[in-house]
Amino acid sequence: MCKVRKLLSSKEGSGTLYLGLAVLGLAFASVVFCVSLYQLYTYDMRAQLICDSIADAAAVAGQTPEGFDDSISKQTAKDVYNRNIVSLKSGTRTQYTINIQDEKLYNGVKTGYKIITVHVSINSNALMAKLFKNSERLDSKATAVVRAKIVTSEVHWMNWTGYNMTISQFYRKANDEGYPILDSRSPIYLKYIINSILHPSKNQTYDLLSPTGYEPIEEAYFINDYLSFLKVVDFEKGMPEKIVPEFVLDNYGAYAVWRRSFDPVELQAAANEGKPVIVYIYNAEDDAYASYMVIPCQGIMPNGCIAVAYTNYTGRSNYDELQWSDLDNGHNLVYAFIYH
Amino acid sequence: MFSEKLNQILPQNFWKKGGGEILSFVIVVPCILFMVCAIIASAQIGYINQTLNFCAYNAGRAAVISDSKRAAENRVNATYETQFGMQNARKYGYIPFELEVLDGDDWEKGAFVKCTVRYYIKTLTPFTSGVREQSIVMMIENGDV
Repeated sequence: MCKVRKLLSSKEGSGTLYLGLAVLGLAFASVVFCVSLYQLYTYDMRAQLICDSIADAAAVAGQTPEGFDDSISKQTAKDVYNRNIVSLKSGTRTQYTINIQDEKLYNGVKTGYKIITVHVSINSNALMAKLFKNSERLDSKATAVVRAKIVTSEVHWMNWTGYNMTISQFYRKANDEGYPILDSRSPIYLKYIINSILHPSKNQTYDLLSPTGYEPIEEAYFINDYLSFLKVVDFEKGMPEKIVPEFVLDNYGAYAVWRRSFDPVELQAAANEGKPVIVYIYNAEDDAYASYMVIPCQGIMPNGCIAVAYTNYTGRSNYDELQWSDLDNGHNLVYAFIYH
Repeated sequence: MFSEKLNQILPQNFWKKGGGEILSFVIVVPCILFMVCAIIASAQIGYINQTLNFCAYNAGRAAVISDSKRAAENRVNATYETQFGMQNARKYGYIPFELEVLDGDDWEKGAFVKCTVRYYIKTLTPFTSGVREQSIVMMIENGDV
């Protein structure tokens, strides 16, 4: 030390030595800074992925036959959180919050969705964070928001005489009473409707569709699911038995019954008993699938929305005048799925 | 004692001719080089961690919506292979990904699954090279009935 001190106090080269030491210090500081930035970035991303996982799990776990159970959803969120933070370094401070609330739209009318908001915060434990131990600004924070469908076996029936009502009348009545309406004139909407019942958890990012809207729907896996469903159905031979278990799969204990023939009275009776009814119409003449039809009189669907769907293979050009009897006109093979 | 010996070794007037600068430069250059290497290595690790995180998440999402564990593994395999390929895993002999159902549960809705992905990264600094892994725990959303 004495020699170094002597060297530094000497006139020759001491300035250079000081400069060298300063450069070395600066270089070291820049390394700490760069490494910290990478650590913070990595933890930011990690927090976001954990946050997304928690939100996804909470949205699915909360679905019960009785509706959406907030407590189950929160418990699952906690489990997923706890299991994910184990993989972080010891000493890392983490916390999360979850908030579940009903989504409301159009003058306070519930849409049948829950909005789940998850916040995750991870103290990055980065090199810089060690220098500023109490600085929350260096925490990695992430937020995820998902929409979860409320599916309940308890269907709220409206006292409408739907069987005697044209679709346009039904439409107007639903609209007047402030219910959101799903329109399934486009095949993409059909997927939405059928999946609303079969795969409630997979539609969580979808928006309600406007009666006249034809917005494209993304979510490739969702569409793929639907297409794979179509592939296994041999319409010429009717619905194969093997399809039935697939309907059972995600339907929370419900089972599907299919009929090759269309009996409005029977379906109406099923609807009146509280069973959601979906009618699938196949146009044998054109060899093309036509449309789903959700019997209007069933009222609010399990997802809380009213679904209206109709086909253009009915011989009528004016949808507004469509009657149930039009469906059974000899050109359509109608499959009805009654969910018990 | 040391300085006397040093002066004997060094040419005459070494210090007066700017020898101090040369000496300090010689000492500082390896340090700076090492730091540059460390920065590049941390960038490499940061990048691979990011990619592994995304891969784990994507593979996990693909897995949890599968009907069975076998289908889930196929999807994870496809996701991993698209992201990294299998050549690196074969070359360095490690298991590229694992899909573990936690708590010994069956593949059913509500059970937890841990998706781990690995990749061997060769960085500029030898002591930071090695197999890096990232894992994520998710809930199975579409299990067997």
